[in-house]
Amino acid sequence: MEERKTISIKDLNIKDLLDTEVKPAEISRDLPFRKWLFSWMLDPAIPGNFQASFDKWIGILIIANLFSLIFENVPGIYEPYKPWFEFFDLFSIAIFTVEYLLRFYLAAEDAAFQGKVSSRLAYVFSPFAIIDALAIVPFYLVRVFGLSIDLHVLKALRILRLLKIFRIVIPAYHEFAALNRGRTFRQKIHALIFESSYGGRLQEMFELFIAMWVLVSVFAVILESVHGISYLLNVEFVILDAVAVAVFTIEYCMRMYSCVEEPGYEGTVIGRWRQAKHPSTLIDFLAILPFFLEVFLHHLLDLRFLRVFRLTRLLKLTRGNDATATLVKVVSREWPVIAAAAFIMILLVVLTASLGYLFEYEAQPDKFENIPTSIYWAVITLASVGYGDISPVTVPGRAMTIVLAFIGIGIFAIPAALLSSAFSDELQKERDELKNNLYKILKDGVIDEDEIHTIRHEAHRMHLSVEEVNALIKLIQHELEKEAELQTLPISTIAQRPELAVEHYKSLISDIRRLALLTDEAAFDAAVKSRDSLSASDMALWRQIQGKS
Amino acid sequence: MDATTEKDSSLEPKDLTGGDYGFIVFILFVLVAVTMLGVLGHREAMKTEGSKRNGEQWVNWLTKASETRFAPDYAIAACAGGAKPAASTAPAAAEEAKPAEGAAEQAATAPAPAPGTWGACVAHLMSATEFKDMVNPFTGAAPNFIPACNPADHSLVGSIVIEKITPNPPGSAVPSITSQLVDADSIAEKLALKVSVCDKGSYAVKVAELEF
Repeated sequence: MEERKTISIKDLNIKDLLDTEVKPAEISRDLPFRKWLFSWMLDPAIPGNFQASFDKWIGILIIANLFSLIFENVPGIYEPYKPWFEFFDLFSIAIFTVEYLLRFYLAAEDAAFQGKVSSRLAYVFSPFAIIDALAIVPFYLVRVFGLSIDLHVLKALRILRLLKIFRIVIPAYHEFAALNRGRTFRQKIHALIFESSYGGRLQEMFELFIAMWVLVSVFAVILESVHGISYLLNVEFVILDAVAVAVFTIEYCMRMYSCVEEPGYEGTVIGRWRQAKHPSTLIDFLAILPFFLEVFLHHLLDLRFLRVFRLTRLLKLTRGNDATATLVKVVSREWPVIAAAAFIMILLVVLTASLGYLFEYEAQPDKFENIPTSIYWAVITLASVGYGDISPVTVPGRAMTIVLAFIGIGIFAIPAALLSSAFSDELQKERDELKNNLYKILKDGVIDEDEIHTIRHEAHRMHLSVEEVNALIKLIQHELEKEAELQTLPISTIAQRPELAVEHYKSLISDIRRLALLTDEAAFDAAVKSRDSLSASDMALWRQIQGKS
Repeated sequence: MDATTEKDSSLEPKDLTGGDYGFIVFILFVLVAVTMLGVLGHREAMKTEGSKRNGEQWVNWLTKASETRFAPDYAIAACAGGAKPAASTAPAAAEEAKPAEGAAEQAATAPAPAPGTWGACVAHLMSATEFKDMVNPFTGAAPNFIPACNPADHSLVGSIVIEKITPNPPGSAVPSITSQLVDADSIAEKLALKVSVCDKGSYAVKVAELEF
């Protein structure tokens, strides 16, 4: 069995631990120029060189070429900006040519072509190099050698530039295949869809691909509402929506199929049903539903309004964001209090609207026509919006408005204050949980790789800085040292030394709080009630220590 | 999240199971279905594009005509500006002038539009110019001229709506109002027009506003 690499607490450097940025590569200047250039630009084995950035920018240029190709087919966009399109084409060709020549020149340094009769010839006939050549050769044939190629053929050949993306995707696929060797098809789908240690760069690319489609489709929905744009790009929007729905539908099916591999979702039917009910999966479903409803039911109902619901696709991006989960948790936890505040608000709105109607109806029957109209006025006044389209003119009406405006500030601020306080509590709770986790991690004096991953993940999730994590760790180390010291002493000795007694007391309180954090509150209460094992004062103390009384 | 399945992968079968094949077939089915729906949607969108091209053809002609129709030697007398509308002509004269689709019977009985009116101009254009070959992509027949698109009435898809824009007095809350351009409307003076077409859902798509 492979032995896990561990770090002693004394050697722990939090800055290094949390710093996920790759340090710049240290490549000797004494290397021959070609080797030196290859090491900086193209060698995937050297972390911190420009290889990843180079691939990333080439990838971005390929995607920009895709959009350029799409928009070139829209005369309304292409004609006015023709010089810009041509400039971009020239720029792309220049970059792709430089890339091709660079790879050709450096092929002799590439391990993939070493040992061949001619490494450069081997490069030229390699699949990636053929794709690279196809991306630029048509341009030179037409512009430099004056070859006459049909415009449609030329455009089709330009699409070949998109194949260059495989230069980035294929290595990621190989890494994914290596990570998932011996795993089932469903497990592989799971690794691609769900975040896991089996996903690798391909899973990141898949997430990026989905996020890109979310942004593109939401942007398209927004632009569709602009008449001038939707008039020009109506067909393109239809195609784009169909492709987006195809992508999201396949992602949804893959998620539903492979979710049974996710812990907590086991079971062919029950697991999938549980996954289907999950808020993020419901959002995925809502993202594709309007398309199918509109296609199948447009003869029966006017479902154009459903198009706006395509904007729910934006919610798909919340999958990787903890802020939404915290918000849901906070609102559901504080729901009874928010509901009570809402009830008071409704009560106040109805009462003031009725009084407004009573005082103002005779003076302004057209504005305070009935109580529902007065409710609109009351809400606008209580919320401190004050459009001014309806305003009281009678003395009692104005007097009541003064009172209403004062009350409104307080009443409408209550839910906001509640949510803000609940957010703060939730963050504190999460911080306590982190502290508790750190306590457990540091207790044995060493940290293994999994524990490093946990610390890094938690610090990233809670947006903690290096200094904050350091402070927490120092605090825990101090507590552990005190605890170790206290454990060696009998209670009578501790009692004789007040400073130790205080530390011991703090340690006990801390233990109780940790116990409360780790124990299911409802189950604990039930156990206390069923066995009657704690007196009322003990129970009150238990709550007090947790800060609940 | 690092909470993946910690199953021992060596115990899992490596080959595709029946369920896996079922899933692949299902995914292919979904892909084909969405593609077909996309193609259908594209076809409908292309029909809307065709209707827009019809509207643009009208916009182009009306815009060009507006530059010359007030000249004394303007070739198309029915659309010439400056002349006040005369009395209505005999029904027989209208028979050749009206658009073919759906209006033939009505044209036989209704009085022909008087010269110098919009009706006479349209009738001439629909019978003697390139507009006579214009086709509504949704129906395959000549496009109808209707007062307004109505999403509740799907028979209006691909129809053309030409409205006149009447400016309101300066300082009005609404700068102008649009109303249906009827056959009896005089074209002796310059007219501000708005051309729209009805899309696949019978919603109006504005093509352009112009001066005729």
